[in-house]
Amino acid sequence: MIPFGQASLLLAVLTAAWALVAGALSGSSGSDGLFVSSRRALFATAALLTLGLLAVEYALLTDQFGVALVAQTSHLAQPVQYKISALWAGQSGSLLLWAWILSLYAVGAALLNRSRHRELMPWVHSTLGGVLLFFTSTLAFVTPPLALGPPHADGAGMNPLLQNYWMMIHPPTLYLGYVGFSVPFAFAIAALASRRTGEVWIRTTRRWTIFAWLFLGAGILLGSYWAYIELGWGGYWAWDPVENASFMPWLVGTAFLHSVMVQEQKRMLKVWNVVLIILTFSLCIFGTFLTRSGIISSVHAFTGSGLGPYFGVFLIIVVVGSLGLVILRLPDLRSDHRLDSLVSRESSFLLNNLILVGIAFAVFVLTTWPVWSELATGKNVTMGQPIFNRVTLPWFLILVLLSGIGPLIAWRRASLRSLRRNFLLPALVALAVVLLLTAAGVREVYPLLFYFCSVFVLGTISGEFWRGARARQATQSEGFAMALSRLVWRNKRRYGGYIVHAGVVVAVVGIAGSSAYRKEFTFEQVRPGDTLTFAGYSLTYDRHLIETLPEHLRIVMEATLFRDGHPISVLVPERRFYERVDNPTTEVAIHPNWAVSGPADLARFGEDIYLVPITVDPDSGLASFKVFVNPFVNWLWAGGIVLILGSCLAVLPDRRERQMLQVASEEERAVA
Amino acid sequence: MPSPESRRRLRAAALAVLAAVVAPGALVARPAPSPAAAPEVQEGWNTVAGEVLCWCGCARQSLRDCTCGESFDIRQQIETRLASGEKPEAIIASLVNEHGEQILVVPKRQGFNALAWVLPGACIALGAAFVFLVLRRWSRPPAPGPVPVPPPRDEAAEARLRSRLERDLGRVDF
Repeated sequence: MIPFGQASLLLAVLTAAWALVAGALSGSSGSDGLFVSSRRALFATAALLTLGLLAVEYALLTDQFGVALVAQTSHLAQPVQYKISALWAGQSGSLLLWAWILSLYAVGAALLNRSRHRELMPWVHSTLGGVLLFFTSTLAFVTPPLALGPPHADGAGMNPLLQNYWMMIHPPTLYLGYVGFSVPFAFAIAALASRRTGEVWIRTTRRWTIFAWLFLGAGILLGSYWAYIELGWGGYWAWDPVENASFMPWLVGTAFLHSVMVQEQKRMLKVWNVVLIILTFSLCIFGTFLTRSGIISSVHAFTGSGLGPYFGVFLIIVVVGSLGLVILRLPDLRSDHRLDSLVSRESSFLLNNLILVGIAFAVFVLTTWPVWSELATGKNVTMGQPIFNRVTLPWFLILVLLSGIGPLIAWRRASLRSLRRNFLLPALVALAVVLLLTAAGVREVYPLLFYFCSVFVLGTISGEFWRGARARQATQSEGFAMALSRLVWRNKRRYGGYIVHAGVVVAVVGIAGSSAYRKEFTFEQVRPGDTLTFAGYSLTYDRHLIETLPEHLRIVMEATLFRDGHPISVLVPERRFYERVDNPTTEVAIHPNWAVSGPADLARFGEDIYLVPITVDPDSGLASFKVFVNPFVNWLWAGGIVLILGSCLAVLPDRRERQMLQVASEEERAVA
Repeated sequence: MPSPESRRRLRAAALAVLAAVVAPGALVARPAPSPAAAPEVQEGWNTVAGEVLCWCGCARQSLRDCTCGESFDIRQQIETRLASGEKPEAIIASLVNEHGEQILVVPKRQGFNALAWVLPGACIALGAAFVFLVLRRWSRPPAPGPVPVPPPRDEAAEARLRSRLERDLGRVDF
């Protein structure tokens, strides 16, 4: 099976190369034979990569420790699910997963458009083939996942921190996002190469883009949740370079999703849209470069990979090649830029784009600052959380505000009447909430501003749902619930977008609350039987147990959490000691509070009691603990789920979208 | 499942790891300054531990915030040095001297590194000014040309169009 897998990965290089060449030849000559051949080459690449991936999984599941990847990431007693996920715990395996997902995307794009966009598709095949060629070559010649190493009786095993269900699904989800942006990128390159720079490529890739954006966002969210429950420092986002690597393309991808609407409606911003998707894809590659090059240290990075130069060169080819093509095609991308008013949806989307790209730029500068600092001063520096928060926070605030304003301002020109109708009441309600919070003793400026913006945006979105449903009721004689559901179902893109914005706002409430009002308590020299009190709770440390499990020894501490004298939860944190790992790991215990006893208690809705064992004496059980009270933190996860649901709605097929795509295709054919 | 014998061996090995790595620290090490420490020691400890990075590698937390057990020694050292009268600034300077500037959670706002604090914001502000100028240019009305002479009114055509418009509006599904 292993030689079979190795041969498959080598052959995949040839098929990917043929997809690149045949697609380009077909695009320039119009040859149907080469077009079909390039498509088949993509299918063959996907089939060969699937075989390669199955061979690696077979090696992992059958404990073939002669394969270096298996010896590094698995061992005999490793649970089956973690043997499977060991594929992406190692450098070469994660690249194979990346290439395999890309090949599936390529097959999907080729199949779904096999009888459409004849002028674009050869170049799409060629571009996707080119990206696949890079990854398959890397897998075949630089870091082969089935490379043999010295024979071992047992493997080193996966890092215990990665042995977590969320970590099983986080990387594939993130890769579905990262890799998914290859499809709109390929269509953009195809539009430039074939000089079909109208709205067809934008309309064709809209759902692909939302799909990639959704998975990248979900991947970031899953990663944050994993960090929260596994790393034990009470937070979920540390502005680590690898976290930032996934956040940057998500930000620029968000800007792209908004700015394409301006091109669809007004046929403006053609150059900007092409540049945005090139930037998004380049940032996806940059993220991989950052993770694997070792230029910036990160807890999540693959260390000592030596892949940096290859990714660096590929990144340069992508950026220089794509932007060169944009410059070459500038005459085709010219459009009539005319605005009827400065107060219009077009303007607000441009502002939103500026801030999204600006934040991505700020994150890029700060993430890479250690490199610049070393070049300029010869000294390495660390860029911790405070500088990221300080630099980006004001811009996030404006962005949240714009998420409530932009979608409700009219295209072309907003009248004073419509502005008043859409925004006056939400602004007054938001102001009232801020006054109430101030009266209740909240004095911190940023949380107050964020809460103002959040209530304002939720108000504007609710108003939009209300007005739409009422208008439908008036014309269709339907009940409110029916009118609302039909309104949403028949305008999936628009209302899906509103739901996404609502999700962002709920998440923002969670982020603002948990960052500003997190409370931290340290308790030392705690003996079994002692009771600790903090923030209206009390915690009795009941006992400690030592257990030996197949993979590790663990000290389990049991503690009962009380509120108003009543037991509400038993918290069971652990310290784990692995024979094959130097330092013990921590399993935190979390109690989410959903119980509210009255209005004064509302601020506790969705807060977490987060118990971290820091030290424990195995004989006496004498321990020290940290307790975090994280208010509103569950709002972040809830907002993330709302965001995912909204994106799922927006990505569903839409009759009107199809009609618009058909019109755009006919127009483009007529012009050509 | 491993045999009882191998489980016993694993337990013995793990307890040995515990004894060697953790247990000695468990009774003496503290994640925070001693509650009995003088207020100025506690204050100084918070300053130093807030500005200096924990090098456990967990999530680039400050010594004060990190919940790992790796930096107990340095935490203890900081408290001892503060108790002996050393100033927080001097301790930070000596730590930077020993480990390099990367030991700080964020670089000092001086020299080249001061740029990191202002450059991103300044660029976004410049970008905003640029976007404003572009939008203003795009929203300028086109230069006035010759006034077009309206064609004579065709009332029959207007009536046809109006009735079609009303019919189409009636079909609109909001």
